Amino acid sequence: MNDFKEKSFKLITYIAALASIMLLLGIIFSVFAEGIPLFKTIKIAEFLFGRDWYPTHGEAPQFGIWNLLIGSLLATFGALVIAVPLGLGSAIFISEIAGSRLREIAKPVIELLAAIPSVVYGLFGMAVLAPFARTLFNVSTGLNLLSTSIILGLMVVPIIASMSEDALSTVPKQLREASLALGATPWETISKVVVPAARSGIVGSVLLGFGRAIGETMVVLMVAGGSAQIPRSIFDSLRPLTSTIAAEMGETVVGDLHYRSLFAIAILLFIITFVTNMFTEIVILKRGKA
Amino acid sequence: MTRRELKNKAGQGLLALMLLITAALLLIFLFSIFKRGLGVISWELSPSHPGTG
Repeated sequence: MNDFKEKSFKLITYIAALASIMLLLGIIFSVFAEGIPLFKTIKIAEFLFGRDWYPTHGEAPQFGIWNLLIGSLLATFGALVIAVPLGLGSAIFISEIAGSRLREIAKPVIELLAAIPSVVYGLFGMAVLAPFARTLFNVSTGLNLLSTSIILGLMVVPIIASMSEDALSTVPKQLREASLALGATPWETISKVVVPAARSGIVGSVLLGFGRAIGETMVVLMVAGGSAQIPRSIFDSLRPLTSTIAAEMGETVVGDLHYRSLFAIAILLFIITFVTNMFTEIVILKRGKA
Repeated sequence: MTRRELKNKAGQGLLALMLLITAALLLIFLFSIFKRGLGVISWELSPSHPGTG
C-alpha cells in the first residue's frame, strides 16, 4: 500500500513538473512563432536600432524600437539607483545592527512592499507622486523618468532588501566575532568582512531587482508618460518596451506587421530577462559552492 | 572621538538612515492610498440616498 502511495505521489509530482515545463515551452514557442516572421520584412538591425516607432503610419510604418529600449534601460537604471542603496542599507541594518525586536518588525514590513499589486504602485505614482513632482519642479508633466524611477525603485527595494538580508544572515558568525576580536569596529566588520563575504548573494539580489524592474508593465504604463522618445532629462516622458506592448496590443490586427512587431518586442524582453536570470542563478550557485 | 570611531558612527548612521527612508516611503505610500481610498466611503450605518427619502 505504502509502495503504491509512494509511486502515485512520484507520478503526480512528475506530471505536475512536466506540465509546467510544457506550458512554459508552449508560451515561449508561441511568442517566437508570432514574432520571428516580422524579420522577413524588417531587418533585425533596423528593428533594434531604428529611432522611429510609427507602427500605424499608413504609407510607411516604422518599427524602430531603439527609443523604447533606451527608455526601458533608463527607467530600470533609475530604479536601481534608488533601490540599491535603500534596499542594501536596510538589509545591512536589519541583519547587523538592529536588535531582534526591530528585526522581527522591520523585515516583514519591508517584505510587505513586495506583496502590493503593481497597479496600486501605479495609482500612487499617477495620483500622488506625479502631481507632486510637477508642482515641486515646476515641469510640464509629472509623468516622467523621475517618477517612474522612484515608483519602480520602491517596488524593487523589498526584493533587494529581503534577498540581501538572507545572504548576510548566512555569513558565519565566527567571521564577525574574529573581526571584532581583532579590534575592528562594527562598521569595519560590516564593510570589510560581512558584505564582501555575502557579495555574490547581494549581486544576485540586484540582478533579480533588475529583472523585476525591466519587466514591470503596469507602473510604467501609468507613470512613464508614454512618449516614444529618448528622455534628455529626468523630467522627460518616456515609453518603455513593456508599456508599448500593453498599450498597443489591443489596437492591432492579428497577423499584421504591428502585431508581429509587438511579439518581437516580447522576444527581446524575454531574452533580456532570461539572460539576467541565468546570470543571477550562476552568481547564486557560485555563492553556494564558495 | 577618533577618526575611526567617527567613521563607525557615520557608517551605522547611514545604514539607519536608509532603513528610515524606506520606512518613510512605505508610510507615505500607504497613507496616501488609504487617505484617498477611504475618503470616498461613507461611514454612516444607513446612508440616505437622494430620492429614497
